[in-house]
Amino acid sequence: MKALWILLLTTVLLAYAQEKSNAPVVPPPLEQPPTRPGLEIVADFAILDLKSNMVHYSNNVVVTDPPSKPGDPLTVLKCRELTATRGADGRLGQIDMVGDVQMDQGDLHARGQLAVYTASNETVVLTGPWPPLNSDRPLLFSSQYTNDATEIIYKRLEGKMFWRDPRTFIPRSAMTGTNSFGQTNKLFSPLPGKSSPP
Amino acid sequence: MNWLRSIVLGTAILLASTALGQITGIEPLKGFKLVDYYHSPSGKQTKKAVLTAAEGRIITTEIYYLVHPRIEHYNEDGSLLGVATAVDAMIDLPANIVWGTNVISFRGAETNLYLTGRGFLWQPSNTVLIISNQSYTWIDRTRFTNSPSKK
Repeated sequence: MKALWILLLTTVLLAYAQEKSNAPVVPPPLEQPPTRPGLEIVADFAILDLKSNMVHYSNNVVVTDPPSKPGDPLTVLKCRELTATRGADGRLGQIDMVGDVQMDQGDLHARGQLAVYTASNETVVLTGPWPPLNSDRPLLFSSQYTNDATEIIYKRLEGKMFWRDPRTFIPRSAMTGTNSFGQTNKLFSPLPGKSSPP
Repeated sequence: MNWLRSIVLGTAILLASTALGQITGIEPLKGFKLVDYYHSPSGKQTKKAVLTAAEGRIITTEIYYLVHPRIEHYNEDGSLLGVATAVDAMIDLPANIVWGTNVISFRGAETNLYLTGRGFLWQPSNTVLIISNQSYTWIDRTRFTNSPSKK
């Protein structure tokens, strides 16, 4: 009988020791993102290649770029694939956005198939058609006008968009109004500066 | 006292079977560390990656399960390139790959790049991290681009 009690006590102690060894370890905190504003990229899939200084994203890629000037609107870019490369100096070199590229900044919207961001001059060049609106060239539109062009150029430091060889489309509703010429002229007036890049 | 004998015998059998299972199947692992090296033509070895985990399980002789692994990556000059931490991971030693279905985070050494996501494959030999779901990247523009400094 005594032996049975000793065996029982031993088994209880063994069970306690095993439970203690299986106790969950308090996890160290995962690396956390900095709280200051920065360029943010969200996607379903990502490949980080540290050796070649390249990051590739695909599927529902969304880039959020804080404005270079306080008070300006955010720039949001969407595309199918994005590849960012770093130069030898460790700085961001170029970002290529491919497939159904959408660039939105406040009331300004640009659409195309390929956008190339060059960090050295902080410029995005958008090219390619926009099939959803049957356009064979990239589009730039706002609540007041729609343009297409061979290239749409966004200069980030200036916070402005420019274009090459533009064509302006006037909404049919604007032409059928009683004051159609006035509205047409008004449509041209808010275009930001020049019709071609400086 | 037959009931008491039955309980003790049952407990002993249960413990024995559990212990047997640990020996043949999943064995605890403590203080795991794996170092990968750059191999220069001169034969000099410099540290490339260091994978550590406080604990885990030995699934087979070649595949380990790691809890809270930490991967440090180094440049060839020995400077730190970045650190990745994960909730958990599996490592296949012969294939030299680390993968997991949980969250992983990577931060560049100069804190100008942060990347996280869920589900990953890490290939230490070619320094590639693949994130298969919910990837999020933060890039410090003031350090990466030519825009005016905001430091």
